[in-house]
Amino acid sequence: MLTSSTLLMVIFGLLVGLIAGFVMYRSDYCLAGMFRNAIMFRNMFMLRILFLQIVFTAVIFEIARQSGLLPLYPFPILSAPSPANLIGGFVFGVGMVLAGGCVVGTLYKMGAGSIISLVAFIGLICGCGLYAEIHPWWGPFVKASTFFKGSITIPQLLGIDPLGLVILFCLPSMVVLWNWHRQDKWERPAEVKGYIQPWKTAIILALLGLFSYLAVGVPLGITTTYVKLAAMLENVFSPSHVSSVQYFKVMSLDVVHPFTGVTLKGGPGPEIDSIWFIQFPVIVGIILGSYFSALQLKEFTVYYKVPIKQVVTAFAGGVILGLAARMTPSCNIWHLLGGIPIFAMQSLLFLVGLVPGTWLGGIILLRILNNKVGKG
Amino acid sequence: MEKSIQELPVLQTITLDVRGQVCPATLLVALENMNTHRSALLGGAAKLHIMTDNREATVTIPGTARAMGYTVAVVHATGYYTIEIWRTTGSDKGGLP
Repeated sequence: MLTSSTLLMVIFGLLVGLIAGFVMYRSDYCLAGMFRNAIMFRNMFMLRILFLQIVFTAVIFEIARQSGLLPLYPFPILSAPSPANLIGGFVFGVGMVLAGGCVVGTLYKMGAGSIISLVAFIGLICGCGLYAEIHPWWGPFVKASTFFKGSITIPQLLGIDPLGLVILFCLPSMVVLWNWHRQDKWERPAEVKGYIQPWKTAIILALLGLFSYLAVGVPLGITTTYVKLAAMLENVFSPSHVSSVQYFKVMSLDVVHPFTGVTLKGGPGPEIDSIWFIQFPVIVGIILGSYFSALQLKEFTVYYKVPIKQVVTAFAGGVILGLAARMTPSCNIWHLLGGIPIFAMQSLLFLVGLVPGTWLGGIILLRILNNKVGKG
Repeated sequence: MEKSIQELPVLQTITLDVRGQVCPATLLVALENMNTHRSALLGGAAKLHIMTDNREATVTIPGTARAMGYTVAVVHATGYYTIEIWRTTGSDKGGLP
């Protein structure tokens, strides 16, 4: 039932998504591309921007926490680390290179008319649905291999106030960022219409992440809803199977927001719950935001003549990406722009796995394309 | 000062239509063709004419081509961008990095 609080959540999510999609399209803010270009082409520009976003997010999250605005800290759904985060990050890296974008990049590119990204999106949903089938094996592995039980973040593990670690991390980082700024390394020349320098988008996305954290208790994240979409689709064709899948009964979110008093409860099953109301409007918003952004620039176009090899690769990449986003669990947006700024150990392990995964994805992609790319 | 592309005695235009494709495929196609047609491009006998609707490619392809010593022009067409890559007198780069 759509209560006033859920209606507010929907409107809020839609607005956040619209803004995110609009600016991400203008800046080509592709998180997959950040790692891929650094590893495959030694182009570090966008990784510097990501670093800026992580540092800025760490600062504003800590300011909000010190101001008493983040009673849910660390935020829900995060848990103690496990090798699954590392493995999931690795597989995620492979998938995002093959898919040509991550879970969010795929959305904003699709909004601008990319058929390849639409195919990757379908693959993502299939991958998430596939994970539900292997969860009976993967879930116990995650549970058994979890270490530092009871500690989600490094400050919790060390028994210190997060403020000390934030200062220790952010102060030297700010010196590095300032030096980059003085060397004009925050900006790059661009000849496209309506370009927004990526550092501006990084700041906007960090603020949106904070607003999300303040309003609904969690920063930006959307992958559980990909599983929900898979479950909903499966439910149309085989409801008996869906009701028998253990993963669809998991309740990954079950908290009462201390400020709003709203009970946030939901999981990856096909039900319309809090996760749906938090994440689905963001997904729709990103697609629409990018669509309007492209339309305003007269750049919205749909080209069907795409090499079949790239279409198949994007689908396979999407499946791998979806699978990894659940194995980890969660996506790069959640971990890089939410978990790492609060020093969540899960997120740090995800990043450690993501880098070699991106490298392997690049090698696989080069072999698949095999000097015949673009001629198919 | 660099010559404009219209002033050059270009003999051959190599057209690449990568519309609909995303990165890194677009950049790889451009790199592959810059390598395949290296002699013609370096000698000023050919230019690359790339059609793309991928905004990221309008940053990555020119950046890479300029680093290799080529001259680049990006032009907005209806629904896509064209990237022209050709050779003017200057540095003697031109191979793949």
